Amino acid sequence: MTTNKKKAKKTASTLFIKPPEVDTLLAHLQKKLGVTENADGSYQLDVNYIISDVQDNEGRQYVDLVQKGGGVWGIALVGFTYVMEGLGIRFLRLAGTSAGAINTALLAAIGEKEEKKSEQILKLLANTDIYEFVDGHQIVRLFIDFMARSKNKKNLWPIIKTGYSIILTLGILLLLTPFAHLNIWGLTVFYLTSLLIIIPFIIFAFGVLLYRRMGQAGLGINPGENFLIWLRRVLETNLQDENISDNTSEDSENSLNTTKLLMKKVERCPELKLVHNEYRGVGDLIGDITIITADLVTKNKVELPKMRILFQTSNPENGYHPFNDAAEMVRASMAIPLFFESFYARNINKNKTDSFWQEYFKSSPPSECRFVDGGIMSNFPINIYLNPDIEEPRLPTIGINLIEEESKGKKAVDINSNQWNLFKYFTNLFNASRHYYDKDFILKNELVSDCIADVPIRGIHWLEFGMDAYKKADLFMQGAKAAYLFFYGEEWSTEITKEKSVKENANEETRSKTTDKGQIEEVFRGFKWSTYKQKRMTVVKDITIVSDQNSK
Amino acid sequence: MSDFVIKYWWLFIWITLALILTANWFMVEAGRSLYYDRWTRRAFSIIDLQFPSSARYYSYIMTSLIKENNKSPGKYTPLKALKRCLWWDFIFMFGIYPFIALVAIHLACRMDYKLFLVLAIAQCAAWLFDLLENGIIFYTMKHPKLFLVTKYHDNTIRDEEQKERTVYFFYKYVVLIKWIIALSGLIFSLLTVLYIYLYQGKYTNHSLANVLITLILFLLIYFTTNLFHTTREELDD
Repeated sequence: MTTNKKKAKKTASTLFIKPPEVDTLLAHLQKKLGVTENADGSYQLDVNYIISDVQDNEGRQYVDLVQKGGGVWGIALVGFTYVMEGLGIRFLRLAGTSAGAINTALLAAIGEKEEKKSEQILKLLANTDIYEFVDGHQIVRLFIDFMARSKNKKNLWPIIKTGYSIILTLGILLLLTPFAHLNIWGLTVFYLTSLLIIIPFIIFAFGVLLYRRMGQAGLGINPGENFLIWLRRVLETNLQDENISDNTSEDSENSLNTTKLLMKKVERCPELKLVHNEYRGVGDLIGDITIITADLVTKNKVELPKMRILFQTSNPENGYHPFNDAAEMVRASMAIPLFFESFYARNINKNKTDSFWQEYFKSSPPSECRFVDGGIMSNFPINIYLNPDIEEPRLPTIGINLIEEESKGKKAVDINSNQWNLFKYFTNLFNASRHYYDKDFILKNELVSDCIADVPIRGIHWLEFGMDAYKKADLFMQGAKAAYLFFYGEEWSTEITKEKSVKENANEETRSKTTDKGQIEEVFRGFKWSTYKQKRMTVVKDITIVSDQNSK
Repeated sequence: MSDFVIKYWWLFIWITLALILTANWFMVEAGRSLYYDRWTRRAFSIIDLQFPSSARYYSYIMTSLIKENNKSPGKYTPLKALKRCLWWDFIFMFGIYPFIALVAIHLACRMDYKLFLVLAIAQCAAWLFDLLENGIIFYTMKHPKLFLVTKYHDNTIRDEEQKERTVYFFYKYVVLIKWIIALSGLIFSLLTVLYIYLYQGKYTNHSLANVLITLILFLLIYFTTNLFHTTREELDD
């Protein structure tokens, strides 16, 4: 096989295309929900299916979107937002952590707010080999790949161990016999046995070398540079038009201040209106973006770009901000501990930043900060935009919650917690503390869960960067199916659709004439904005009454 | 020729070892100043350049070294440190490949196995590849994007800058083959020496003492190198 053919085969196996099934799913969902997309990009919505009170003149509905982190599962987020956009939903404010932060940044940077972006993100991902983001040593890459793939396969380790022990014992026994003195055969057995003894030492020495390198490089096996360069380029390509129109740019001579341009772009909104109770107004509604990261030096959850002012440096080379480059904000958010190197902000100017540190964290600024994946503190920052105290919300905050399918409905009795080893014990300890921040908010505001769409992921490890095109397409489809379930309330299944389609076609005309509000609500068991809003109003009123009584 | 080598074998061995250890001393000293990236101040070594994870990563290190040459907590600027490492590596080569070849020639003479003669001659190829590798590294210090190629397709965003060029493949295989030849020569020769000592008892007290001295010398140099040169941790502090 020639190199070109090999390359083509490799490219075909890593780069994926949109699964055709997703458009069937979307068409079916649009039909079910009464959403019609016109050729000019405007939407006609069924009066009974409204997902937000905030709309533009072309019938697009606006929501706030929060996306959870989850490594390569982030592709499922794109599948989810693809379906949302197909339903005429657009995003006013965006927040996310780690993989959620990547999709957040891309949704904010690509195109205008009223445009569909997920299709473009999909194209971008389709043309990118995400395996290149794992830019550590090649042997480490192979190891990670092996571990991630072997999770769902038969464990070969016991077979390797037994085979190794048998061959080594045989070799040693042979070397103890006169056979070892027979020149060529004895020497061959001596070579093989010695190599079997040396190999574990070489692996150990290599492990020590890698550990030392990790220590020197901020305890991360992958530098994360490939990702940073890729995202920087994508953002610069999409934001350079903003820079041309920005006459006030102070950084024109240096690299683009993509954070400033991104914020400017995300704040820009089309003409919005309210479809219910117009008296509330839309004047204060502006776009926003929040990316979550965690600083290990001061042990704080950091919301970027809002808090980037805290990290102004004394170094003029980067415009006094390590986060002037929007790609660096995302890089800081996705620095999975040990997997990617931490991101640093060094030489923080204490004089300049002191008042901001006092304001945000009631503390003095440190000389440097070390950022890791925001997921260690808040992997699903649903509390960013959702204010449960507001009686009548104008738009929902929809959260996309990536979860591993096994963990859904796992029974406590199956877990055998008394048999955990030290590693499992510490893993669970870490997971319990990192999940509780967001979980606590959801538990205390139970209505929030109505706006959260679970995306159960099966069969793919969240660090499986080396997965093939089929798995990527599968992930995308899993996100799309979760969106179908969230908005329609029924699982998507091709077979069911085929069976139903015959009956539906026959009944469609009659139903469209006779359907009234009550019947629609029977059909749609998914997210209902009006019901949610009503529940919110009741809960907030109850809370207000209780607090008034307490104060009296 | 073989008589000459056998006669002065230990003398040659001592010369090569002296070269290896001296070069190693200065390479370790310079290597402690190898840092890149002004924000994260990451340490790297020659091994990182020999086995980079991608052409883009290699290019990133080199670009960073050129752009931020004045930033390093070490004794030398990173670029100067890298140059010093490479120049001392030329001296190191004069030691390591002849050393492996001498051991292999000795075995070939004593055991009459042609394989060791092949291994000894192969060290010349490894040496040549090492020279080539250093030459390429020197060249990339002036042209850091040698391994990269940029392509655009219909104005679509295609992140193809890291796509490997033929020269990168060439570099990767040059380094890999060099290591395979040198390591197989070293491992098989030393294992055979051990086999001869253990199973055939063909050794003299003089040679045994020399082997012990060599081992002690290596350990001594290893510890003193680490003792006298500032560690990365100390530099970071």
